[in-house]
Amino acid sequence: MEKFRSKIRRDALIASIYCVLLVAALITLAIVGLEDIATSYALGFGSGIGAVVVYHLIIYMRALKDETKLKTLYIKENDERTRHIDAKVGGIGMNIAIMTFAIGMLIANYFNKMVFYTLLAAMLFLAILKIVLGRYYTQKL
Amino acid sequence: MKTKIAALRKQNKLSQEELAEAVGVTRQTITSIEVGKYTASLILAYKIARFFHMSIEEIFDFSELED
Repeated sequence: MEKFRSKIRRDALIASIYCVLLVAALITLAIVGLEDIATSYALGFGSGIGAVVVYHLIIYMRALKDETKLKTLYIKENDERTRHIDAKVGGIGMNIAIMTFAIGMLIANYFNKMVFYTLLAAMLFLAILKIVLGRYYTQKL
Repeated sequence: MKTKIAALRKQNKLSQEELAEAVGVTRQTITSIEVGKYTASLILAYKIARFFHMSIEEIFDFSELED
């Protein structure tokens, strides 16, 4: 349990650093002013992730103060069925994503070349990622 | 896979939650094993068997694998 406590402590620290950086970015942009759509999008994306990070940070802080909550969190994060489900979702999900991009790419080829190349790049990235991860875990396990 | 977990639990007057906490999994995992939707890993099977002071073979029915 001590190893898990250290992991939670480390994760809470990383989450705190992210929150501080996000607030600093928000203040800076509020002073300087939003210049373009890309920055606005990045800020919105960062804030969305920030909300998730804060949610987890609250859970981690509560667990670090209460032994029962820490044990519950440990069980929740290490439950073998949940991990099995995650592995299945990840594997099958990636195959579905690759197939969907491939179909979308074939359709987009008739209408818009930019969309076609974007989908092609995304599909190739996923396919390469799948091969690399497959090789990595074949050697690791 | 068929198991005797539900029967052993009732015999020992244990809830799924209590057994789950004792072996370090969620209640849903115990439910899934009991109804045969999920097969426990070797480590979890060992933990469950040790909890009931029995062998893995006494709790888990491996007859399906022998066909």
